[in-house]
Amino acid sequence: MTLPLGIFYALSALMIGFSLVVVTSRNLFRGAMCLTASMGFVAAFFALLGGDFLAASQLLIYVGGVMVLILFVVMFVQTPDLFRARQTSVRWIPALLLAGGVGALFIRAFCHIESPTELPVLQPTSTALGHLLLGDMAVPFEVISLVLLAALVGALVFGLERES
Amino acid sequence: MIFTFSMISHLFLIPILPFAAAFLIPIFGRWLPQRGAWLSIAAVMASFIIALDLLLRVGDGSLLLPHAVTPVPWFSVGLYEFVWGFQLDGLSLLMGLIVTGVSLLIQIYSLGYMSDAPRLKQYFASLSLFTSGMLLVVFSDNYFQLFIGWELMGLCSYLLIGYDWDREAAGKAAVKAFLTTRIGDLGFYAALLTIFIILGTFNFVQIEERLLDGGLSSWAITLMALLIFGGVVGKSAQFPLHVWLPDAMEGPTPVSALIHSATMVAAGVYLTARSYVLFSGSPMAMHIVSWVGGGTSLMAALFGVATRDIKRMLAFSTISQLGLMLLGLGVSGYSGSVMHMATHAAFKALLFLAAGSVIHAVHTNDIWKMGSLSKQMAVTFTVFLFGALALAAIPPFAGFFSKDKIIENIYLAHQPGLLALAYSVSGLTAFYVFRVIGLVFLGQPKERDRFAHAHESPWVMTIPMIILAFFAVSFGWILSRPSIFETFFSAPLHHAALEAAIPAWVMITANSVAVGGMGLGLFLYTGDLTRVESLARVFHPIHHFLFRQAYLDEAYELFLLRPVRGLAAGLDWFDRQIIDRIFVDGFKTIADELLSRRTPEEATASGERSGRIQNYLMIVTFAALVLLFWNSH
Amino acid sequence: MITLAHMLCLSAILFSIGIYGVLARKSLIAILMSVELMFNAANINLVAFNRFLYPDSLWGQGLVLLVITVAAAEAVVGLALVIAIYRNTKNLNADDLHLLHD
Repeated sequence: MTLPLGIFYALSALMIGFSLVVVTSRNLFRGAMCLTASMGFVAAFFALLGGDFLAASQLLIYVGGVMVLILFVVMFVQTPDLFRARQTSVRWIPALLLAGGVGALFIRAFCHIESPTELPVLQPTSTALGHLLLGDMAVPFEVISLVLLAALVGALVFGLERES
Repeated sequence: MIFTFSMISHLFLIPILPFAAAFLIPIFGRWLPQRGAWLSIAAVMASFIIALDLLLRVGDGSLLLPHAVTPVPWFSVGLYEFVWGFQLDGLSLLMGLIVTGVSLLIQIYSLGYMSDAPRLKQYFASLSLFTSGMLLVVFSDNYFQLFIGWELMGLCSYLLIGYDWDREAAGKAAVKAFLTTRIGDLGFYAALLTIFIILGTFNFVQIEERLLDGGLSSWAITLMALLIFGGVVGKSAQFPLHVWLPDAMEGPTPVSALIHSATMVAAGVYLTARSYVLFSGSPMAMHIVSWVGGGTSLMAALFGVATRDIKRMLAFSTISQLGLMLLGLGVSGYSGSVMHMATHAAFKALLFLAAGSVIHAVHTNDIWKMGSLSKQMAVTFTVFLFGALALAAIPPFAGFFSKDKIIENIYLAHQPGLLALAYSVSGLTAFYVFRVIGLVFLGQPKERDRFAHAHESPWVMTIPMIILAFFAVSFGWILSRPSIFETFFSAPLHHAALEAAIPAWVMITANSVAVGGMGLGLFLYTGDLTRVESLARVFHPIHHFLFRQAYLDEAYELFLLRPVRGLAAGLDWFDRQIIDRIFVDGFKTIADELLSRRTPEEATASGERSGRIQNYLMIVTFAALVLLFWNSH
Repeated sequence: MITLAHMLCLSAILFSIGIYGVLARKSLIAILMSVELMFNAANINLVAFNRFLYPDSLWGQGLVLLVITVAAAEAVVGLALVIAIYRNTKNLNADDLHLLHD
């Protein structure tokens, strides 16, 4: 058990733990906070895999943006009594089975996958990513901005309070 | 207006400008003057000017016909490349000028006639689209592209006949027109496939070369020619697909003038002329063409005698004249038929516009409610008279030159039966058109009120009519001038001009028949109508039979439409009661029972079905799981 | 030594946790949060493949950036919908929203 591997197991255990809380807790606010933590761990894994820029973006966008949004909405729609209501529906057994089935299948497929032993040293990726996004990936990049625009407009349309 | 740069490379603009207008008008029409009418007129005027410029270039010798524009590649299938190709030769130049010119005049006329109609944007956009479709047919250099224009015209015909869709009759007429021509188009489509299989190309020039190379069985050529003729029969309203044209008169009169007299229906004749090389290779096909054309011609002329609607008279007249043109083509009389196509465009459009003027004034189509309108509407009367004289082929009006050419060609082909047919049709034509003149313009007014309110149409309507009248008078003479004749009417394959001597009696008979018909029509139907009434009692059964168009519509309804509707109803029953019950409802019940955790009794008792998305998601996940499992082994 | 298999199994576990959440939770917001979990699992996968199988290229990371963006957009629209539903029905229970049925 080398140090990197140990860190990996620790981080993954924490992340899985937090994710489990997300899907089981009655308290939506608690679930949202745990999701935030989980996202943070995902960022850690990105960094572990050499995506330094990606880790930063993950924290900025997901944690700093999406989760804040979700927390806002949670606080907007939750009344205090709902914090104690049962959150898991009657379907939990088939859901557990299905989820377990999918997970087991994936793991069985993945655990014997070949992995190279010699890996290049990790480099900073920001410059290279920049070149990629504005070079080879320019078209998807532009399309994504349109998607964001559409989402923005859509959210506004849905969210606007109608004066009626 | 001659441009210094070469307009020939802009041949493709001629169809494209109206096409562009057709799309701009619905989008921007709201802000355009007259709801986009002027844009439509401008586009077709530009096309007309380009065509005119091309004519002048041919005239001064700087442009040689036939001329092909470099094709633009479109897409390829296997080894064959589909292109956008345009060609210019005598036939297409003539038709191009006629189509753009007549379309221009009719659109100007529409400004007056349709001034208080709703949905003008749709009207002018459809007119522009139609014009571009016809121009595409005329200037294409291959069958495939021609077919595109052909279908485009069919669509616009539907849109324009059914323009007044609030009226049930208009809607039904539009559907009838579309479906009937569709049947013919099936033949055309089959022709396209056959031509491609046998000859390997759609391009006219290449087809001509391959046909002249020889080696094709006469059955193959006959098949291709007859399939093409199927499309012609539909589009040019020949028997047995003629039934849509009289009903198509439900559309606005300018539409009838443009589409159903001068251009679209002539497209069938154009197609036959364009495929002349193909048809000439099959004597049997030519025979069928001439007899179908001739028979239809006579039938329609008889119907025209019995009708009481001024537009229907003109519709039957159109069917009859088209039949005559096809008759001419069938006896290898290329020049006569093409010339008649040109003159007919002029005088028939004129007649329709004048009829529209009359209808606009008296608010009815029924000739028995009109009368003595020459006094109230002098201009309309005069132009209608000129048109009628042209139609009846009285010298020196336009129709005389072209129809006599057809008769000459029939004589030279040694076809006495067809000659007799042609003579009868001439006589009947003159008779029915002057019958209408007598009832509408001369004699006594039948309804005082209508007569009193009738007044001449505004100049925006009369000026196009006058222009067309000029052509109705002179076009025949103009087109007979040797240089012009040479340019436009030399038949493909350079058939030696049939210069054989025509005995005088041929022409004399033709003219006397026409004059006789005219005289009889005027005599019977002007002034005192007692003579007609006594005749009517005698001929009543025949008259009724012809009035109902030989009950052909009823026959189609009984033998064709009812069985098809019955079949459709049967299949619908099968689909709803059997297939839907088993496959759709059955699976839904199973899925709901499995997942909503209710007993089946509970579910059916409460009548509730799960609409819960998580249930659906579970099914999806399960299916994904099954697929993964299956694939991973 | 962290291998590709480790990362992939981790993401598989995360993904299945997400699936459980989507299928078994009552509140709409909880379902949305579970979907976010699934997105993250996929992202880990992408970066892992990039690192282990194609270390010279950065396409995996670029794609992850795009996926993050799309997921953010989707979360935004989804939450706007949630608010709209809440305003109309004051109820965010997925079982009570069954207007899709006959």
